[in-house]
Amino acid sequence: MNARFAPTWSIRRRVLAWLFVAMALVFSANLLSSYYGNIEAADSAYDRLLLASASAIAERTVVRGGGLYVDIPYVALDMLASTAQDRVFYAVTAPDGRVVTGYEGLPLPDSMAGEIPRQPVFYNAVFKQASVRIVALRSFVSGGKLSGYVTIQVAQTRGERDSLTYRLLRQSALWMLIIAVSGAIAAWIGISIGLKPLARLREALGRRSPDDVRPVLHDVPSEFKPLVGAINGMLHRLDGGLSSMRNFISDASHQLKTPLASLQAQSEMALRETDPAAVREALVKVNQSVLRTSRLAQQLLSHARATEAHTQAFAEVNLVELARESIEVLLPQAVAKTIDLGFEGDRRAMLRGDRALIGELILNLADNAIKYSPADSMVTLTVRARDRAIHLIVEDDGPGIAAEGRAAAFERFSRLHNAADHGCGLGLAIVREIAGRHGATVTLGDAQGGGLRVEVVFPIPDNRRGMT
Amino acid sequence: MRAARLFGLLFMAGIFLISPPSLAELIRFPALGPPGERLVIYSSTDIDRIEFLVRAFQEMRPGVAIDYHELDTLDIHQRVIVETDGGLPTADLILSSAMDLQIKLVNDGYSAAYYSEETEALPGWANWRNEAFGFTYEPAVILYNRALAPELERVRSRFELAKILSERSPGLRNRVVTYDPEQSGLGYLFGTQDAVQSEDYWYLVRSLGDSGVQLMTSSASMIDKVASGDALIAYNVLGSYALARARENPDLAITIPEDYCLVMLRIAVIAKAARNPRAAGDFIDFLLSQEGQELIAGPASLYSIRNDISGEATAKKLRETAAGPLIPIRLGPGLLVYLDRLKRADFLSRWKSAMEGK
Repeated sequence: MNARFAPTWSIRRRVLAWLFVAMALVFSANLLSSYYGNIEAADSAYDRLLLASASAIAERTVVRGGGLYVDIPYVALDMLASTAQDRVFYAVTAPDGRVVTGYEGLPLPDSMAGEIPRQPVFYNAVFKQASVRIVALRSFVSGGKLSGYVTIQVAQTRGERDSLTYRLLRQSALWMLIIAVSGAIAAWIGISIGLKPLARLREALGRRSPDDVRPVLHDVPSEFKPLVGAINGMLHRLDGGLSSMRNFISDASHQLKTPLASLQAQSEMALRETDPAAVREALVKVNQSVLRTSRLAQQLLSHARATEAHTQAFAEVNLVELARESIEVLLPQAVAKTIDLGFEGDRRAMLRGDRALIGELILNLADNAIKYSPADSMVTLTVRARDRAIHLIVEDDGPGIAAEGRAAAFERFSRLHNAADHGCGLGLAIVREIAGRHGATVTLGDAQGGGLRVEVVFPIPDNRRGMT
Repeated sequence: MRAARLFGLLFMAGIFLISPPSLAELIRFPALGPPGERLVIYSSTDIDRIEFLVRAFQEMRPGVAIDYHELDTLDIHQRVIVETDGGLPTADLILSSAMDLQIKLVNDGYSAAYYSEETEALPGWANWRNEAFGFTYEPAVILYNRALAPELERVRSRFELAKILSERSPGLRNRVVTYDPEQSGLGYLFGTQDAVQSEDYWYLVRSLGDSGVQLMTSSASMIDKVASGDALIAYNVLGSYALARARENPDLAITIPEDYCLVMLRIAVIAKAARNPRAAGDFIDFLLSQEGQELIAGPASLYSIRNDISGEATAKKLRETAAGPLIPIRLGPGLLVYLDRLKRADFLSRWKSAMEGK
């Protein structure tokens, strides 16, 4: 039923439409029942008159001189002179079925064909192309050789009865119309009053400044409480998003200041050098600083992207392939530090995700591992599908992170290690953000060699599995 | 059933073909101009009383030719029934003074309803079911010969009439006339309505019988008797005929009974089987219009029914001059009672008994 309403129909219109549907049903039922009720009422009122007429004729039906004799009293028919000027028919039938006087062919009721009822019978029939109400009465006459029941019928066209029926029907229809109209008016006013709190809410929200994200505390009807709750929830999330954005921007600018300041110092030092070898050495340092700064900028972008990523952009991703690509990217870095960067695990591990972000996640973990590992050590990437989940494990031989510092390690720009120049502290924050986007969990632990072990577990929905 | 009906139809038709209808007369009024419609009227009113009306109607509707069948009231009734049941051409418009027969036609479904401004303006007692319309308002009066019996002026009511008759004055012996209810439909209607009004009627009938009343079948012949002096007083004479003759003959005087005065309405009915019901409706409108009613009051002297017409033969004048109540015969099912075969036989036998003084 609801589908028939256009979604833009106003509440007023919907309520009124339903009201009218309901009222139309109730009123038609009511009219129908009152129609039949009115017919009954009209019949019972006028049947008495019809019966009085038939009784008056019956009283004057006697056996005289061996034959039936009927003296129709003047009033018997004159009393039926109604305002609707109904036509009148009558018949007196002898016990042998012969019409003594009156109209031939007035129909008899079915019930009179056999048994002789003591009570008069009222019934409807069609006579001379008019619909008539008939009373049939049996009256016992006796005299001489003749004795038996005569049948007296008096009929009247339904004009007066019908006009009474329709008059009553018009009255009840009029009342129903009045009820319908006043109901519609009441509903109209009620809806207007009922929607007033919503108008106040709209005004209050309209007056707010763009950065005002305080929750709405207006009193509203209970029907609107969920809506206000949803608005407040959204405002709350918006507030959180806005403040973390502000924090991030201030953190990021603060973070960019340090490498830029060191770049400035290094380049000024290079300008002061006159020895070409020293200039070159200084420029190498500048170059390294630019690389680090650009890496930092890239990580900031990744972080920003990770917080914006939508699940709608997810596609089928092979985690093994991504891990191998990352190793290829980081191989020169590892070779420079004589670190053995290796891969273990399945050949294929499919999951749904954002390819670039997951790549970034692997790159960050591997990059961190290489950075914090001493020379001549091992960094191992492992991908395994287990228990409806895909596990990505990165282990190194570095110093690891103490159990009590692991929670803080995920905070942005946090650095727990002395080797401050290695990174900016965004890596694990980005990892957690990306993992969160994919419903994955990140846990830090101890590797077998004493280094850090990072395990990311991607869950796989029921209908798919990691393939080996 | 069907065969019997067909037989009856042929039988009736045979009667019309074989027996020369003594009263039946067809007067044709050709159309005064195109397009040549035809309006068939069955009427119980003398053509010379109504010719003004027919001609005036034709002046207004020159395209209508009128076939005016002047028939006896019972003939009209039976012809309409037989012709309608047999699917034969019948009247468009039926004008009759037999109110009871007209009501029976309507009651039995041989008429068509008609509504117009003119019919709506009729009082309720002159319109039954919008199918029967009264268009004249004619009193039943007492007529006496003023020149021969001036003392009859004091007869102002039925009671006084009965009383003067019961005095058995030799002058009045065999010199009273009234309708024969057995032979005349109108006489029967007046008699039965008198009986409905008052039980005193039977006293009057006994007195009439006692004084050797002469029974006649028409108002005209009763008036002739009174005018010639064969009779001195006539009871229940049609007011219009009496008035027309009294204008010419100052010896004739009219008394409107003061106890009550029966008023007969001529009734117009459109036949259900009418070929030209529109013209019939127009004719009714004309009869009820100011112009038509003035003609009824004037040249026709048929007593107009409308209250806004002045003159001698008008309802208005009648109301002004009557000392007692005017009782229009009531249109409705009550009129069917005395058409009942047994009721008629009963009434007539009672009437005859009363005539014989029983």
